[in-house]
Amino acid sequence: MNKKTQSLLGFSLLTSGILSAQSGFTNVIEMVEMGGSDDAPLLWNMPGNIGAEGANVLVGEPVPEAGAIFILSTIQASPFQDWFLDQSAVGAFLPKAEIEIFTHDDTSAIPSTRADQPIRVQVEVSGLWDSSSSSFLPEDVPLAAEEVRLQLFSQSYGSGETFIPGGEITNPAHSELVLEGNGTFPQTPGDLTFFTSLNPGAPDKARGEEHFVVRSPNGGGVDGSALDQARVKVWPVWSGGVQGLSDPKLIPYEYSQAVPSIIARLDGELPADEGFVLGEDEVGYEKEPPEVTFTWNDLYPTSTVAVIVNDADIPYPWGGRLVGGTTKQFNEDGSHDHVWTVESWDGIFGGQGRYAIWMVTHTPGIGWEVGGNYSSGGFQPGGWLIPIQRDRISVRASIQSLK
Amino acid sequence: MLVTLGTAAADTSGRLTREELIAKRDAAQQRALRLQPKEKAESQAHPSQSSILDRSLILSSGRNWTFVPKGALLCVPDKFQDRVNLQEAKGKYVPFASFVTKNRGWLSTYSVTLEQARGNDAITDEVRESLIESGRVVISVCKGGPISTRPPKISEATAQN
Repeated sequence: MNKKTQSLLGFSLLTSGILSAQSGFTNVIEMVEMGGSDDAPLLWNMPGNIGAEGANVLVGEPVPEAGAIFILSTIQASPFQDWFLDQSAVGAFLPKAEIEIFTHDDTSAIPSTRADQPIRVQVEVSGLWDSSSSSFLPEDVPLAAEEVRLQLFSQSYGSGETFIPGGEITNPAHSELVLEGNGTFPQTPGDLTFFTSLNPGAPDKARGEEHFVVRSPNGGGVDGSALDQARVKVWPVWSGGVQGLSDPKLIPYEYSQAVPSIIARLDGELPADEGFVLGEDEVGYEKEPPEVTFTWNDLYPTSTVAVIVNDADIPYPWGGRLVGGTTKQFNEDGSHDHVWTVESWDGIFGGQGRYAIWMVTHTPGIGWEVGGNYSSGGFQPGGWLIPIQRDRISVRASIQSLK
Repeated sequence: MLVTLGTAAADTSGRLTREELIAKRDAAQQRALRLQPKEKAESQAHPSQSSILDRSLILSSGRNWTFVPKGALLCVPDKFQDRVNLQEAKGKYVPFASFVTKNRGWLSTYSVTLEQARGNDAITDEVRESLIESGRVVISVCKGGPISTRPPKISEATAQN
């Protein structure tokens, strides 16, 4: 007797959704046994009730040569609707696959990435025909025993949504790749590295999901016959803006507090804003620097933001002083905006000179970044520099780029 | 007033510009072309779009309906053609076993083995004739569950040897 027919059909299926545990729902297992080249798949709606926890099923029949797929669905009677829950494949030469997704963010429960970051996919394929351990002649080996396909799907979130309702990916596959033979893919580094295909004209503002599905070339006419599938949530790249300062603008104010540790150098004069010019060589001084409102758009769900003041001659904010109250850590379900107004600078501008005010953001796996804005004619790396100039008793503020 | 950005000389963030991101995306897509198949897989739909009804036939009495796998109809008298192969479900859905019980007057089942369903063992002509003579729609079942049946691969004479 052929070794394949010595095994009895048995498999485990898990109900993954809460639907199956609710009244009014019935779980159904279908067996789809692949036929030969001229045969249609054999379809069997298996008898018996499957509990909410799933089931281990021993069919008590020999494993068919071509193998079989067992699909667990749950059915809602009224109104009728069915959902795919799980599947299991049994057979001597049925391929198996495991997908693993790698992104910059290894902290999220569901794989997630920012839209400008690469998505690295790794697929472990086994169970395909192996010339060294099979008596099949190559010409007799069906295509489904030689290779699997990696299909890529993508779907944007609806307005205000942070998930795809019902997990229903209605878009067809936009790409399909061949993975030949058993082993770990990619076999050439970089082959399975992708950037989001969502929002093609402005991918940095993509918001949705990328899905990766491994399936056989011939699934027996069963769309659900995936060997494995994985998804990545895609969130847009943050941008930001400042209100309360214009470019250039002199905002003089009287300085009377103790000099703190951050002291910037004087770097020439800036013309006073018209609103503060009282007469020739006469400037009206404010008691405090102005209120400034910072707006972060499209922050990554788990990110941290802050505002830092540093010496304008230092081309980065690190080592500067955090502006009190501006540090905030988020743990949201989706991308979000954040607005913060600094009402009091608490004497952070510690002496005459030019200061840079930086909007900074920390994203898991990416680290700290300074501000930037895609929507104002293209993102400019390096972020914001908002020098504040002061002399002995006044501070002048303007907004300039980092030069 | 929102501040607009000027040109920055130092790239402290390492972030890609939109144009750089599009170029990287396109390069990755171009690279993937090398792995494209000559013929695409049979299914291009996401697994979430799989429905049991795609693989099923709908039976309906007008008041109730159920589904069975395609290929599970062993015989259909002409007078009941309007109760099978329906494009649209009519009435209330009930599971197969309940549907059979409720519709004994025009519907019956015939138990087959997996080997018979596969076409490896034949369903004899005598059996098929008796099913036709029953005047009812007959569904093939295996261990109580509806199952499709393939045409026999071997002659009845060989099967009986």
